[in-house]
Amino acid sequence: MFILLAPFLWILIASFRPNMELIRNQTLIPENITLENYVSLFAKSAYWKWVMNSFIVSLYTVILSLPLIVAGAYSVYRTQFWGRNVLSFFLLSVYIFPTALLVVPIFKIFNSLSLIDSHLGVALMNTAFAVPFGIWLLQAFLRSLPPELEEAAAVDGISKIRTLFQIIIPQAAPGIISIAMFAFIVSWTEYLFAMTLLLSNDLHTLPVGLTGIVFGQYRVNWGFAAAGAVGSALPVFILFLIVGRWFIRGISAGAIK
Amino acid sequence: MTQNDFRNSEARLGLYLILPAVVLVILVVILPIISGIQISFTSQRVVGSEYEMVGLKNYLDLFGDKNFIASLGRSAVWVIANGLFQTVISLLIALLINQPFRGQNFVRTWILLPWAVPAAVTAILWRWMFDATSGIINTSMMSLGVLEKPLLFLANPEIAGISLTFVNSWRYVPFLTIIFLASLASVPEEEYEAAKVDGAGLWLQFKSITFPNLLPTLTVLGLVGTLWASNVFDIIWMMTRGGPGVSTTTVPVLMYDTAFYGYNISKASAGAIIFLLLLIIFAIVFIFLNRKQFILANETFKDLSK
Amino acid sequence: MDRSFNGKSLRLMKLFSLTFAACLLGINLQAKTIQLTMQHMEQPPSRVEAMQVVVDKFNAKYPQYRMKQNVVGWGEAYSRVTAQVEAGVGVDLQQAIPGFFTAIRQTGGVQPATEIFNKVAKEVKFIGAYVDQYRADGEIWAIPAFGMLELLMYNKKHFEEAGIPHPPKTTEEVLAAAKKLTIPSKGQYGFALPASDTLAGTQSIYTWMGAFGGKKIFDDNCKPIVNNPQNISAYTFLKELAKYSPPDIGSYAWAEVEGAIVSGKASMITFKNAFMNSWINDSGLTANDLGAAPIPVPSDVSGERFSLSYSNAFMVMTDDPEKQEGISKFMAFWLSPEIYGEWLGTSEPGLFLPVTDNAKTNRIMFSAPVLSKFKKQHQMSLDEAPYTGMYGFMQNNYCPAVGQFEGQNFTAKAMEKMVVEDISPKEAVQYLEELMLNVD
Repeated sequence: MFILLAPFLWILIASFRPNMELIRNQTLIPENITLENYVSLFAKSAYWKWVMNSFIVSLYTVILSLPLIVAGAYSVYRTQFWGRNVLSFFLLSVYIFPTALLVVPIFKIFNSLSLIDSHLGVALMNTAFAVPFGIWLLQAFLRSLPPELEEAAAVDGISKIRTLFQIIIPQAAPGIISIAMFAFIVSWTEYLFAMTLLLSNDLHTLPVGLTGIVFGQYRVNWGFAAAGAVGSALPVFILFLIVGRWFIRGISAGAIK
Repeated sequence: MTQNDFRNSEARLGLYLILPAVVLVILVVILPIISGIQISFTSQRVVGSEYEMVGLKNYLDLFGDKNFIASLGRSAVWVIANGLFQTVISLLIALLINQPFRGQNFVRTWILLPWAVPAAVTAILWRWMFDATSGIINTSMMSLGVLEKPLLFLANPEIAGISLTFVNSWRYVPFLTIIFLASLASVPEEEYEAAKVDGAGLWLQFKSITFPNLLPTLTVLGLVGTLWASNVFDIIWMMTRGGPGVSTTTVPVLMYDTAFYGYNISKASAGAIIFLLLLIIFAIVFIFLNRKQFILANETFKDLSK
Repeated sequence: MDRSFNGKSLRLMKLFSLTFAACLLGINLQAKTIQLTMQHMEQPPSRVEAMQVVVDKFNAKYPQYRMKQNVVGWGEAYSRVTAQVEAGVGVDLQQAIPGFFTAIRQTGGVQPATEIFNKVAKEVKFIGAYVDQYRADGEIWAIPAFGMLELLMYNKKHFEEAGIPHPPKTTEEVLAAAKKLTIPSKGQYGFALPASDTLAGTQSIYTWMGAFGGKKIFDDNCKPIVNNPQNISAYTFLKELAKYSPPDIGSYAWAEVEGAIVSGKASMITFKNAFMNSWINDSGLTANDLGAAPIPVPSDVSGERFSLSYSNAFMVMTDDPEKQEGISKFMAFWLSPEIYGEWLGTSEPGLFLPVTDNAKTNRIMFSAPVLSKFKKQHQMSLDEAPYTGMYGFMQNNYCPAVGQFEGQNFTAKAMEKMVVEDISPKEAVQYLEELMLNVD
């Protein structure tokens, strides 16, 4: 686990060091501490615009994904119909084709739907990638819910739909938060479709903006890249701190039997 | 009226609930795949350029192409290596941090961070850390005396794949750990209590309680994880571009290179379709062999509708 | 009550009609401005900003046009542009380099730009070499915007310390100097040669091939002619040079090469003079410590004065006559001395070279803040420009295989094989020829 966190710690330290140090052999303890990388990131690049755009896209993704995932999980898990198993596996086909080759056909399809150069278009792609696995994630959670509530509801003659809204969703709230976070992260780091579908610079998300600077031809500013890594993770971290309380509760809720 | 019949309102509801997701997947994946299949039967080189129908020529060419066959092999190695490594590590970490300890919450949140960094930034930072002359890994290991000569993490064809596996795992282990944590949390405490009372040691506890409860999770992750791992492209491309030589050229990398740098979209589409078929076959076999576990995941509560 | 109602509704109607009129006017005005979109791959922020300056000034001067810039990364450029052409989505001006252009041309989306070029050429004097790379089938297909070329860049301080009085003029001197400058205990190597399967590798290696006399890779019938003694000498030289480079050059791309010279890890590189900013910020040395020299040639005069150069140009993707008119105005505006000189000096100092032959442009360019410190080095780029060329564009015919030659980094692949698998230079050149013959 040290191995897991150590690189990130190293990157964090690097983000406070001047690039001059980073292109040479680095000592463990920085010789110079500087904020210049963060200044470049926060003040001199379009960081805030990108973060804003990423937030918007991720928010759209979560909003679109949640109903699909909840509905899908409930459908596959708690109802019976012909072809149910096949359909639930069919959804996994999203992960089966190399995404790079999807780009040109998607561009054409989305163009006919006027979804090019729009945050919604990118969110739609992210949703497609988040939903199948999200459904499975939520299923696992639903399975851990005590069935008595639903049985009671069925006995009382409450329709399945009402059961879904009035009983399942409130009970599964922590699980739903978890998949919301999952969808959010899937969208937060997505690069390929954001870069291809968003033509205007003003709409660019954080991965697109950062990759442009970091991979932008000949540049070699490791300090900036490190600051960029921290800058990408920070909003997520803050978000998780806020929402994470529910998440932790969600994880441990299952243990309380 | 059978239970599955669509005149049954529950069955209809089930279908409607899953329909939007299915429609989305068709739009976003199936339509492009169909387009890909069409292109693979042509000789088109650049999207939009002239072409003629050539039937199965692209497919036959690929079967005879040493590079392609080799990349299939590399993909297989990649998937197995990543799958095993990530699963074992994630499980270990999940088991470790499942025990309450100080800072447990902190770790559980921070651990997601490698996953939140865009691939390009990760790639470039790891290239920096792997550098033979100024990268921290080499310099610290050499100054500690562990290494005499620097390890060429990305320039040595024999270990490039290992280095990439490590970085790819670094990205995904946090996510898998969380999933395992959630799974572990659903194992009832009483079973552990009972086992301890019976005097069972840690290993026995793991074997007879933990593992069986994890099996459904492991199975699904085995399926989805394989699909994900086989299509990993961005990290490989940005760190080694499939090199040095072709040592890290897996199928997606080769197809991308063929399509966009070899300017041969029809051949690349054919290769992608072949790979797709192989994955489908794998999925079908995997699901069949593990059908018990999948039924567990897809359980229905028959008594609910009574 | 009645009256107030009338009054209100009267006011409402006035408001409504005014708004309606304003909308109409707005729409009318909108309809009069012609929207233009330019798309390029110069992602770094300084370049995007510098471009925006040009765009804003243009929009101010010609209010009937509204130009907008889109940026896309080189990695995604090809898929995005082909997708745009397929879908018929508007991008009017698209940046290209010769290899990229040959690929996009096959989509059918590139319009002949001869007329537009002629209009612009009336106002600015183009340097012929940069235009030639976009001539085919009797037409000109793109308007050159800026050039780039490679030089031998070296660390003067290292040379002083090692007692080497002047930069190498011959390839033998390069090897001798590299040997002297390689002090592994100090973490210093004589040269940093990218030997990776990347564009960095392709271009650096081709530069040396050209210096040894192998600049022509195709004959007029598009047959590969790379299997010759000059290239074998070039690869022999490169294999030797690799010994004096850091051990992991097999994974070096542009970033590592630039990092090597700036950090002092390497004393010499072949590179575009593109890192003036990095040098000033991160090297710990002054601008005067960065040396630039023409690419050395073999001492037995079997080679020639040469460097790789290519012209970055903009293809015309629209056939709308009004837009085309706007494009010719924009290019003429951009390449006009004040605007162009300022842009060249600030966008990415040292990297972009003028495609026009204009003293005022050059003067303004040289007076830009960072560039003015590197006058001598930059002037060398200008001096070498006439002696440069681009692989696959040096024969009389246009050979489509150059797309793959560049895209799949054939020269770099051969070099990589030589360094990693330790094959002989002769075998490496044969391998290069094989790769070119097997282009499907």
